[in-house]
Amino acid sequence: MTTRDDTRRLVPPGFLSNAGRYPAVAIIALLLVAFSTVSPFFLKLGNVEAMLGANSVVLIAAVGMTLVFLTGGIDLSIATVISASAVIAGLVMAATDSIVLGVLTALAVGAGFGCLNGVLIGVLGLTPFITTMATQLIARGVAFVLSQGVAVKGTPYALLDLGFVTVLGVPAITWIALLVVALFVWLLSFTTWGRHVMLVGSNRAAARYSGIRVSRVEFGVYALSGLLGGLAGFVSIANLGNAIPGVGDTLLLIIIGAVVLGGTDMNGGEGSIGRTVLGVALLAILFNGLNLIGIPFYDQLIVQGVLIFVGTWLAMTFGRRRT
Amino acid sequence: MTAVFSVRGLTKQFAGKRVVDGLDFDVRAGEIVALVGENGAGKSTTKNMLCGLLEPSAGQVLVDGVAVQRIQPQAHGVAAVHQELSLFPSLSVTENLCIQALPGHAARIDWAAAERTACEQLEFLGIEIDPFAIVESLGAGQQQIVEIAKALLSADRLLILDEPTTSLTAPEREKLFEIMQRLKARGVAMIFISHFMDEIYRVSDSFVCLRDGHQVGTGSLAGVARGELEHLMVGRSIDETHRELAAPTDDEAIRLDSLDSDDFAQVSLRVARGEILGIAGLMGAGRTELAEAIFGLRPCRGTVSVGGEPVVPLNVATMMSRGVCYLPEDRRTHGLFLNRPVRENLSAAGILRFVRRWLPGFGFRGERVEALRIVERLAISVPHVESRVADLSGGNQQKVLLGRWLATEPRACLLDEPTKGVDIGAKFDIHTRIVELARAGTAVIVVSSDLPELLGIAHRIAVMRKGRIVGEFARADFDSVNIISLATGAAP
Amino acid sequence: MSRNPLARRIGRQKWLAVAAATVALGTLLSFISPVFLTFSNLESILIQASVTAIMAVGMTFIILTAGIDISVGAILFFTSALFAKLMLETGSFALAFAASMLCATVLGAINGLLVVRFRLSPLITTLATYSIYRGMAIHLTEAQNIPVSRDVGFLGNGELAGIPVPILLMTVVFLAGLYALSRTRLGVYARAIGSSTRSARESSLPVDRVTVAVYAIGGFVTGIAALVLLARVGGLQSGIGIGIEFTVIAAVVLGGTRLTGGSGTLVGSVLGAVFLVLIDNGLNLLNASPYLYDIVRGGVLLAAVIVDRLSAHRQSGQLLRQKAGRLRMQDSVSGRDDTSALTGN
Repeated sequence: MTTRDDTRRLVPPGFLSNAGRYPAVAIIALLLVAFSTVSPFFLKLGNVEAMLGANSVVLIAAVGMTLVFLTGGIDLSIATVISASAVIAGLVMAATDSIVLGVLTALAVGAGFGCLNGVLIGVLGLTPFITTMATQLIARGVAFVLSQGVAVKGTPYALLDLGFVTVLGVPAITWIALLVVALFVWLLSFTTWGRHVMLVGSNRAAARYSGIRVSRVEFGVYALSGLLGGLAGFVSIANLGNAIPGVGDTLLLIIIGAVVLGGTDMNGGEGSIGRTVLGVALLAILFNGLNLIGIPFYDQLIVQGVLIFVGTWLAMTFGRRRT
Repeated sequence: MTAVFSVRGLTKQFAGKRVVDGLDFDVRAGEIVALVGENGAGKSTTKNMLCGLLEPSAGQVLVDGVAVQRIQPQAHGVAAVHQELSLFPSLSVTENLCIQALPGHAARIDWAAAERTACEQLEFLGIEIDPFAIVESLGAGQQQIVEIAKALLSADRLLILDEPTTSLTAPEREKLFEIMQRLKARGVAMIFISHFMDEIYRVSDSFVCLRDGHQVGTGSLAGVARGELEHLMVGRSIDETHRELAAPTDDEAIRLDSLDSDDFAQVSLRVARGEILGIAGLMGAGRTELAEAIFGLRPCRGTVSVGGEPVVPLNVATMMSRGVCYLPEDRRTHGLFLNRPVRENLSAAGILRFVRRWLPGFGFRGERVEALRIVERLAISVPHVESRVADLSGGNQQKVLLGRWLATEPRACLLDEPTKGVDIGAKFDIHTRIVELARAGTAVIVVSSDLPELLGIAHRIAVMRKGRIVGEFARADFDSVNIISLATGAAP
Repeated sequence: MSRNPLARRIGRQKWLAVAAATVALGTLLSFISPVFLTFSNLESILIQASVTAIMAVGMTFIILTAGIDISVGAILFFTSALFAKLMLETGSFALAFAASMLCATVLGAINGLLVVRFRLSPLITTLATYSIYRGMAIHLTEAQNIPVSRDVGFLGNGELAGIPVPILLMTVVFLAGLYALSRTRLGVYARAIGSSTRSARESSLPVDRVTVAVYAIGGFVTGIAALVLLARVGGLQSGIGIGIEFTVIAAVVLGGTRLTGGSGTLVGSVLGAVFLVLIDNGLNLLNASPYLYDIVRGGVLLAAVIVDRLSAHRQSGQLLRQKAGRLRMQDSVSGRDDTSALTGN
């Protein structure tokens, strides 16, 4: 059988079966239709803006979690790293009134935790679960100790304004998130390192046998995940107005849920940033819609749990093609 | 003596392919039957049907003359010792031995009774292993013995042993044979699967020989010369795999000086450019460990030199930079990225070549074109280079793996079982590529359990046994009987 | 496990580290503060540790099968909520007790059934049920706090024969767990499944049933812990049980139980719970900010995991050397394979 070169075709073969790998698209379409029918507020500009803004933090962190999942690991610390970076950046900005310093601080804190994870998991070979569980505790402690448990005041006005600015109808912080998405899509699809991430996740042993420096790849994903956690922490200040030490606590489940629902496999080697965007969008639309029709937050938790379970099961059953 | 276990027309099919076809033999009480054949001949499948792990697709399994749908191990008194041990590493020997039949009633295990059973069993078998030792702290040989002891506890009537001696020391092997004789006296039937001719002739009464899923011989071992049996196993004429080889050059490509590690000792070899060196030997001889050590995947003492220059430090990166490549034995766990497309699998070892020189980070120019080119050259049958490798047949998967490494234009290749689990057509193609490689000046080391393969394509064959090189043969002196003898350890 | 002293020695090794650490920390603390070694302080430590320790017993069983349950905090919350609500509405302790214990066990069993039936990783399964159970619990309380009457408080504050009830319950649960682990089939099977699930299936062990059972046990002990905690706190508050799953897992890991399954002790897990409380106690004596607790806990956990990893390296090195020794030994027996002398034909 000869192999076809289909570079000239517009639609690559297997498009429809590929669509099966993106169940999120269908669900989102469904939700959009359902909610806009039920609630008149749903498609109002203000609502859409609020929805986008609130989920920018999640999106940035979810990109980091996607990278980690792609190598078959997990980063439980990302949520509290968000908190810790926010708090420390908030304190720095309150003292110096410099947004630039704030960003740099947040990134540095995030990267710091990320590198810690990276060294322990990538170089030392510890299990991701227990390691990031421990760093999660540490980061949480840091966030609360430095803030004494209360919101950090003194955010520079410019940053507060940034939280309200919209460009072309889309909040500025969402543009930041989209920029991050674009950056990491490029990183994963067009660079050698990105390719190595996918291969390591697909088969760690084979990657090693092919000459790929697995420990470097793993160090990198955790470091980047931390870095993105730091950025997300900074963005949360813009979004909420203050640095809140508990900001990340409830986010872990949402972040993991978004990545998993998007279709990235927790075992590694399968998934993409694009899918995570869909996952974030799905959860965003879902919760926004449920809010509008008056479903209380605790019932939303139930929906979230069911969705994560069903979504993962669907992805497992239909995602990988059977041999 | 009436037969205890019989098979008539035993057949097993997997996805349309007949792995075992029409077997017909008996195993009588107190009889030891040797099940022989090459890798892939169908021994494992036959064993699995006889111990109840698989159901036959066609034909019958009879116990005491009565046909059964599927062997029930506990009920029929059948136990098997598989190649992959079925132990619980973090549990003690006693727990492992007794776990399938724990004494005591529902709410309380009678550990005293279990310990007694375990101690008695170990004593009866004359094994000196601490019954309270945790299994994972035992050596491989001792673990194998524990597995055997466990099987013996429940095997009243039929005991199946699949390569039981691979990890045993000489005294342990003696013990095993002694135990087998005692079982024989007790009337237990046994099926003994082994590659070691010595052992087969030592303990077995009769044999069943399989080749490509068919039964090619059966009967008493008395009067069957070893050469005859070996011929039955190997079967096809050497000519089928025989190739015309170009003469190798004199330039040294790879040299091993006294390589030493936990799995092999004092290995010294040389391979010239354009030469194909085959490494023959049995499983457990340390060949794969040697190949992995050469490539830098395992630590070892000694020196590996490429092109006359010692490789220091010895790791995968430096070996790859010297133009050496390694095709692992187990392509699924160590070689392929099963859920990734063919294109990515092909470029995995050399993705850097496709990075645009002046614009790094802008994709991989020519990767797809190169993938198509390799697919064409190696005649890999795949609908699209974006197809997932998991969907390919074994032969095509192996070609993808080969293609990945050939794309790096290596100066030297280490191939570990390059045609394992590969169909005839793909096997032919792969052999052609290997010979072409050598002709073009690449040095090739082929580790293989398929002796006709080595006889057909190698310039020289080195034989490994128990971690040592025990002989070398030049092409002109190739002699399969001698090689097998050296590999299994008989007198030359 | 068995009466053989050798086996005891092997078993001891797993929890030896945490025992030593606990003793060391205790000694240190007794130097730092004169009140540390008082009876009331020690009693208070054990009471504080009881909730975590009780849950850790159940979690140990789950982790022994190479599973995990991160929804226990939500099960705890739900149980407390149900109990408080029923007490408020019916005033019947017996009814509330029975219903909430049953629910706790059932929620745990559901986790087990989901893991067995759908074959998703226990991590993602219990992550999902965490959300569901939590949502259900808050739904039940309609996000309100519910006070609990005095007479229920004995579960958390009362005494029986001079021993505080929480400590009593902890001891009972521990001893029951010890018996189950060492003397019942459930215990052996659970360890076997975690040691090698493949071998367990090949040996026809009831893998699925045991899996559901251990998750149910986890739920059951969580129910007990929930009631103790509820009694001590005096009422249901919205933040009850947040983060407790990680504390429990930390206690189990510190106690020497491997997350990969098959190896672990209950003594270690209980000692781990006590050790964590000692840390808190020590920090309290030093007047450290309560927020520091998390940092120290995280640090200790990391240290324990790193140390464990390094010692595992050492052990695998030993095994390899054993193998090499045998290779050498074979050479010395005779120059070649000795069956050569016995080759018959």
